[in-house]
Amino acid sequence: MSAQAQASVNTASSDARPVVACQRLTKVFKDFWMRDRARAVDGVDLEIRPHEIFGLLGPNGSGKSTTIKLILGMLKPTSGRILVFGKPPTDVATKERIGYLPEESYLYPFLSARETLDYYGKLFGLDARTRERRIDELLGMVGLTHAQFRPVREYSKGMQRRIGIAQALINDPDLLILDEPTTGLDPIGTRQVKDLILELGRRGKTVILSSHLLADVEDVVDRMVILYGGKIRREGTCETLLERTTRTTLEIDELDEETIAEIDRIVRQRSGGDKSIRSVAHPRQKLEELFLGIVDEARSERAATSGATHAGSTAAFLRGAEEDTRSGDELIDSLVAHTPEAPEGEPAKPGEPGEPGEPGEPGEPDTPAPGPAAGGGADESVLGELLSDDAPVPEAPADAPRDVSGASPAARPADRPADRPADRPAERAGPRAGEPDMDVIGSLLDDDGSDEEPRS
Amino acid sequence: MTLRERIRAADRLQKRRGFKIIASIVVVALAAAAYGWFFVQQTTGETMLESIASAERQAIQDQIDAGQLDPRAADAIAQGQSDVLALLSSRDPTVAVGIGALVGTGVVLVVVWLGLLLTYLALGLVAGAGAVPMLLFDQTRVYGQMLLGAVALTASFSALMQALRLVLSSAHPIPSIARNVLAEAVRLKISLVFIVILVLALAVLPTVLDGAQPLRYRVQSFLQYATGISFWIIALLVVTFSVATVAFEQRDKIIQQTMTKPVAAWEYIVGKWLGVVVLAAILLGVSASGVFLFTEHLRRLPAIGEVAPYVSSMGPRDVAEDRLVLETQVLTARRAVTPRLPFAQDDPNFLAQVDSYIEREQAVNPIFGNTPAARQEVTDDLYRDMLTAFMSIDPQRERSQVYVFADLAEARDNDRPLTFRYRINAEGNRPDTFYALTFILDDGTPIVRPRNALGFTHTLSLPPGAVGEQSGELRLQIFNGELGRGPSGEILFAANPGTATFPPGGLEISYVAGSYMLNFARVVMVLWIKLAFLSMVAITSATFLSFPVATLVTMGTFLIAEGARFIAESVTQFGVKNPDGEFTLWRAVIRDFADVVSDLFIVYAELRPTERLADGRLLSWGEVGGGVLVLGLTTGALFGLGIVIFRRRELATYSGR
Repeated sequence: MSAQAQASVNTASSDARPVVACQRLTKVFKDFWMRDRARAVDGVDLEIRPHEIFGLLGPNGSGKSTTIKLILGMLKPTSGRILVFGKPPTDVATKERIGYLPEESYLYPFLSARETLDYYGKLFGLDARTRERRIDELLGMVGLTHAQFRPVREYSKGMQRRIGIAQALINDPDLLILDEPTTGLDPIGTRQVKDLILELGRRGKTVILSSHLLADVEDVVDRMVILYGGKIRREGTCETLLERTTRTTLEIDELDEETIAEIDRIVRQRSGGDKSIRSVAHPRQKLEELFLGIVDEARSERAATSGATHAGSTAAFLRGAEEDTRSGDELIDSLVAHTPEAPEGEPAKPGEPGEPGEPGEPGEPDTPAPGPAAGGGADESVLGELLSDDAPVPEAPADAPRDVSGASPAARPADRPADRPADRPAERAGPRAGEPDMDVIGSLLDDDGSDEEPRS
Repeated sequence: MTLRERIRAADRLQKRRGFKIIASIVVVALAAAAYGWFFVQQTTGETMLESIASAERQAIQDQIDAGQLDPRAADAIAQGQSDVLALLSSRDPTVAVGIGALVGTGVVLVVVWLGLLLTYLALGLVAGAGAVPMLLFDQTRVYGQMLLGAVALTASFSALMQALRLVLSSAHPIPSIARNVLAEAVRLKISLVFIVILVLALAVLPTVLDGAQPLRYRVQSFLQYATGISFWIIALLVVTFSVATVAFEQRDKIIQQTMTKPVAAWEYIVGKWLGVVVLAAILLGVSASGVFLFTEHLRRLPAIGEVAPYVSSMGPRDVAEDRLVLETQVLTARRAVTPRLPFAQDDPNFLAQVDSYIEREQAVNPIFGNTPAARQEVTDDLYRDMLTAFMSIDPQRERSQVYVFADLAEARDNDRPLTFRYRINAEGNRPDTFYALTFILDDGTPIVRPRNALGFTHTLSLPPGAVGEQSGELRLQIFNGELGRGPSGEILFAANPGTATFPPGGLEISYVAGSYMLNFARVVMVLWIKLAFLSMVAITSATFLSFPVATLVTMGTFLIAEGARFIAESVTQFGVKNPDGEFTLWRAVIRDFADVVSDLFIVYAELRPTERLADGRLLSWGEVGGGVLVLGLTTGALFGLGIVIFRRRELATYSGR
């Protein structure tokens, strides 16, 4: 077997491992007298897989940040085990693959934005040319090019947050850990961060997103856990956690009262009077969408602002564009190393964003998913009867993604790709989605239980 | 755009490659044009010289033709003119000026490529517009000199900082962290204040020297105060800044960003330490250069008894005493030896005396305990008494005492003159009282010093031949009075009225064993090593202590280390009994603690670089090496401790409710 083939095998086998694995993770903070002060994390089992956007959701003090700091090796667990990329979290070499944004941007106040990014780039050992290019792209991406020479202490909180995000990306990390990334950001910045996370997800990066802002998490994550009191209360994909299978939402062009009454009559008739239309309303535009529309309008009028300017698109190197400048061999190596590969036995991801026929495609009528919904869902024959006047119920594969949840697809911006979590496959070989594979974690932890390892 | 923003923009401009290239072209073009103009002027001058000579020759010929000048005299005049012309032609300044222009252009180009051209132009503007007008008037001249000094020090500091920033620009955690520490040092007030104080102190110090003092005292005072003040200011900066750069980073949680990057604990600590040590080196280098250059300036001033520098008022073959002492005892590197003591604490005879004393005490005082503590106290008391007796000369009973100075073979072999320094205390050191002393060398040569002021140090030159050829020792008999011969040749002795005592350090013989310049360099090196050690103490403390506590711990360590000699001497005088003669536990604890502490830092304290520099004493490479070894090992141990602490502690804290 050639060295290159061997390398590919190694890459594949390392990708099959969880990026982060926690087993019975517990952290108890003590006071001066060594009495228990707070049990911040309590027996948490986690398995975060490669290329996954994972959400840590919970109210303040639920253990999200503590879990992240344990994963990063800044705190030592009271009990339990953690592995990051198969190594203990204190392993220095592993840090080269991690980008971290703390809950607040802790920056050197005397450095300018450019110097800050240059400093962190050097800590990753990036050469001067790469640093220069990435800094330019990141500053453009976070909209701080015009303020790049001002000391960070003169920045507003939102601007500091943007630099924090940029520094977390300077090494083009394989694992990005974002602790409350949208804190202090305006809706534009918030939207951009969410877009960035989705972009990185598309590139096969693993992202851990901690937030108490439910909308942020819901919009981007594949899978999430809900923490409270240091324990995992619920875990699963957005679909499994959010779907209310006892209700059905239809979105139809505007109907008159008579038609609605007719529909209600059919529903009652078919269900023997057990079911009926519970409420009728016009869908509302999201406030975020309204706000962004107003800002876009103001920009088109060239209104001045002293804060962060219009942020640019995602940095080219994060989109993988920088590899294009490399030589042939480097490019191939880079593609081999960066291409997200599905774990063994895992079906390939479905079509890329924007593929025709994908549910939730902007600008096209949403197609209700066929097939009976479990647990008292809508009866398909009723839906068929209701829709038979306008359009036939199309045949669709049994495992086609559904879009009959309460979230309104129309609320998504018109230029957004349909890559939201609901559209991403939740299927995984082996353990059921949302549950850590304890066998895998156990074997990994048995393999390597050493403390900090020397930097290679 | 605010002024600050304009300054920042100018700073960015001078660091741009394009600016540097254009500025270099302009500088080289200006230098070439200036030199070209000078060269043309010189060439034209030579032509004029030849024209003048030609006209002169024509005039002489005219006089000869007119019969007004004798042809032989005309030949002599022509020869003289030819010699003068040859002499003038041989002094071609274009080469020397060309080399000077080349060096000057090179220096400017270095400034340009360090990205400091506009900074230096601004400093030049300050010097030109501020200092030069002040130099024109007597009342403000001192301030003009101070301002010029401050500008020169600032320019040197900027250049060194920029050069080392470039050296530390590689993409690796250690130089990156060190470089960041340098940036922090100049942009945060905590260190900037110290840097400004240092620059001002060095600029002001030369102006407070008393011009009426002998030159040797002025030089000694300047060396002692300038070096000492510089070291203390930099040491305080090192302590506070080392602690601040680590402790504040943890307090402000910036460390959470740094340590989640691929940075090992040891790299972080080394990076921080390297940054502070480089900063200390820059500051010490700048201040030491200033001290050295100003000392050289002082050296070239007239000493007391001179009509001009190095020209004695007593004639060209005489050397003024002020100059002699300055050159042979201050601006030099002397090795000094003190008299060998004829007894020691582990000497059997001495121990027998201790036993005898204890037996006598027990005979008259049955409760006198022969415990180790009591025995040690008796030993110390007896030793002290014997030392005092050895260093004192009773004018009637003893009259004289013989002192032996060993390890002087080097001086004899190299034919180096010996300088004997002595100081006597007697009768309360009344200023109106003088004692006569007589010194007899081993070969019987007497030297009489009839008037010695009490409590002052006096010097005497001794020939290297006085040192024994085989032993390398010099025996000196000192009489407490004046020895002389009577009218009939008999030996007479006029005794002083009281006992003469030589205090500690009051008797020594020294000889020149090295150059002042190298000694100065070694002194600066030792000061830097001390600062490096201090920085590691501070950084290790800050890995687990808050800013105020870590500063306190480091300052305490620094003061104990600096005062270890004093503590060691004090411990010998500090008994474990109270005034009533009873053993006191707390006195014993204090004494033992002080003993341990002074032992711990005695190598640090014994280096005494500043004191040696001002006294013109040699700090040998061996002593420097010993200091480097001990302080290096201690620094390494502290570094290891810092890593262990840093890796064990949790960098994040509980942030929940």
